[in-house]
Amino acid sequence: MRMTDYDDKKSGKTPLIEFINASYSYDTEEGAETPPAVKDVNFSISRGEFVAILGHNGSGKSTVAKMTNAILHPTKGKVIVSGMDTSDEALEIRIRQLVGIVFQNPDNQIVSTIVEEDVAFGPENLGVPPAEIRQRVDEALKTVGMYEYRLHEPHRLSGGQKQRVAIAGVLAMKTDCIVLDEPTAMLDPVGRKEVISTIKRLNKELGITVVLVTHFMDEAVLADRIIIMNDGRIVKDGTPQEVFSDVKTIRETGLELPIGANLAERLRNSGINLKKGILTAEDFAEAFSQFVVNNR
Amino acid sequence: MVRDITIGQYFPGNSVLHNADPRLKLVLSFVAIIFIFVCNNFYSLALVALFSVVAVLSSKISLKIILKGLRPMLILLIFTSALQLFYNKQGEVLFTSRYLTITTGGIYTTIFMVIRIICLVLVSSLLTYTTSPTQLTDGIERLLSPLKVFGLKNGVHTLAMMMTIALRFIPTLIDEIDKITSAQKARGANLETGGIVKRAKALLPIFIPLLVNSFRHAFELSLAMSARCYNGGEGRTRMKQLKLQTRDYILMFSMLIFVGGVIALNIIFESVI
Amino acid sequence: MSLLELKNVSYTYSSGTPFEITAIEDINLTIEKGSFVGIIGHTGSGKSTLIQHFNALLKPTTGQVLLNGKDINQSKQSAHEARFKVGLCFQYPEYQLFETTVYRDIAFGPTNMGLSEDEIKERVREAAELVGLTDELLKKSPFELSGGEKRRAAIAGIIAMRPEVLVLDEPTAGLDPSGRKKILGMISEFRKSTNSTVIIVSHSMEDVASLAEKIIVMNKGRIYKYADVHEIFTKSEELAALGLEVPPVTSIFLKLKEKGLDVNTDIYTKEQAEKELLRYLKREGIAW
Repeated sequence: MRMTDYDDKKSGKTPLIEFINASYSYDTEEGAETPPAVKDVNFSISRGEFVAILGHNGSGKSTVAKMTNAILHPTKGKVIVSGMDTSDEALEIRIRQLVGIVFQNPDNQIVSTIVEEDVAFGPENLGVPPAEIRQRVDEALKTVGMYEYRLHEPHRLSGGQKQRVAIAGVLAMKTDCIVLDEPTAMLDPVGRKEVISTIKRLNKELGITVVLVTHFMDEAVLADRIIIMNDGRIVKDGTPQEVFSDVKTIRETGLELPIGANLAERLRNSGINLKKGILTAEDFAEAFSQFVVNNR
Repeated sequence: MVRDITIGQYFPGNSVLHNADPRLKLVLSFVAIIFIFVCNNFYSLALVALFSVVAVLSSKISLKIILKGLRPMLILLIFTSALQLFYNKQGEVLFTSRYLTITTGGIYTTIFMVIRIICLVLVSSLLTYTTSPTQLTDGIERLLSPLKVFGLKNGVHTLAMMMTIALRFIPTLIDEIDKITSAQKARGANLETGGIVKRAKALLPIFIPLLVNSFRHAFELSLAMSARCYNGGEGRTRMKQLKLQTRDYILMFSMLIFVGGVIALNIIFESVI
Repeated sequence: MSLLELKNVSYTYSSGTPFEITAIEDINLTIEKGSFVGIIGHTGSGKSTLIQHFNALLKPTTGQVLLNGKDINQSKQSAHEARFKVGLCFQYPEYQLFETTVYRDIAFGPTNMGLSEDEIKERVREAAELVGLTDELLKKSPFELSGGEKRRAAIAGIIAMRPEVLVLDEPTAGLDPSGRKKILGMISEFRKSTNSTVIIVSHSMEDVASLAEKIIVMNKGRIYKYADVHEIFTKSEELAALGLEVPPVTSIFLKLKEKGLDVNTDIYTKEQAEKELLRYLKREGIAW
């Protein structure tokens, strides 16, 4: 089954990333056949979308993230980025110029010992002229709110700041799409907020396509669309309201409902019919007080 | 603690030395170190000391940091000067008793040695204090670039990149050693007592996780670098261009005066060591 | 009865140099035997420094740490013993695994205690069972385990020392929802089956609120407040001023109250929330 209904709804936009029956298996030393980490996945992401990929550890979501910019090539099927096949080695650099990745561990993706020099790393690799790199670096650092820290040493920054530097590093490459692989998993609540609000801004204000891989429900609800992965397959693809109304699937995949949806579901089970589509704490408080007013 | 060591650290700033071309700084540091050893009388030594002080001042780095950098040398200085003072028997005898004799030769060499070592540490640490590791490796890469002619084209870039990454990860690894050590101590690991074999064995619980973690860092970093289009040195540009500017020529000129001064003073005055 | 007591404890890093930083200051604290205490505070508030005083990993610059009434920093011996009585599990403990098998790694602590082979065996089995690691997994190399399993193996390594106090720093950091649930369930189980004292440091107000009875709020190296859970979380403005939040469930009730609904705001878990909402609807005659 191809899950591209969502894409059809948004017709008119060209897909930026397209997975066509894509599978991926990790090699084992003994050469034994291992169950594929990603199995026969079909989806496409259009320009300007904000998509969250949800799933528990080992669901294949990180593997999918790495397949979006030719770090991993599908062992079966195809991944097409803006018309280019990621399996074609000659296109690798061009693909990575379109789709950048921010990884989970902030410490393991900073190359340089000075913030601005690290942000310059990508454009330098691309052979961008020096004056333009300077301009891009300054702009990217301002976008993520780290300009004042441009001369700092990365290891003295907080986790949230390091991740924002990593985001700036991708922005300086002028990618169309930024894929974030659990960017907040290792951060404290303050850092998480910094990073999430930065991501939202990139999407809403700069129109950058965002793919956010996460297992935090409160982050996923911010997206326009959620793809749920389980056991290497896509089990759900739709708006947050659609996805989280399928309580059964959420439970079966080892995930949780967002807090508002969770309470609403509990009340529904006791026969209190709150309106559909409640996700966040705010949604719930709003809907519950409305319910009280209506039924008093 | 390991993290107290400042040698090799970089302190961002905006001084003449910070802004100078790293290639020039590398060469000039090398020349300065040679001439710290060339001086052989008190006049040229004074010039060397003056040069070092001026260099330190022009870096605008706080005296606190400079002094902290010197601290690890203190024991070495005291120990070696004591040796010199008591065992050097050249020159006039100034003081003598049953166990020790102090001579003018001893005093001269001691003074020379102490000042030389201090100047040496000052000048060489100024290089890293005022030059970011990336600039430093950049400078080394470009200074070594003539080697590319001998078929070492990628070698030079790779070497420089390796140095940058090593420098980048030193603080991360120091942090990690601290954390792993605390964690194993919390499980009762005894790292302080026992013979050499026992103590070496006791380090395994620290060494193995450190090694495993380092591989993880290296693997993830290599992915992150690929994702940012890293593809070796070919076709790379640099945000910070290295081009000698007026201030670099001024620096070079001052260095020439210093070198000439040391040579002249060495010729004019008699050697005392 | 007080089990762990800190008297006027301060700790200064790089003490005696111009670079000294006071990490915690004038801490007075009593942890009762058998209690479950949560420690909250934003990054840099001194939580990590504080807990490292509980087992003598850090020696206070001034002040005393008493365990069962005895100063644990009195001698090397007493400090060494404190490590076993107060089991401290650091953040991301899976990165400290080093042995050839999971079994041997869990046995590291008990072995350092100088226990007999049989005793070690019994403790490792017991700890492994508690965290849900099968015999099969015990034979494996720790590096072959999944992320969640590694975390549980590392915690088992502390539990196997049978500490009187178990201190956990961010035990659920980086785990997915099901991994988190497993760890939290395990911690409750440990407490129930051993009656031990448990101290948990966490950024997750939800975790703290659902497990702990008392909470220590750290701020700028000092104890800002040490009180029962409800006393801490009913003061949401105070917490907000410290850059902290109430548990997400509690925030819903505060919002309802703001909207003029007369609900109880002393609610921290989803189960409590469900009950309170139904009770409210019933009382208002909306549901029955």
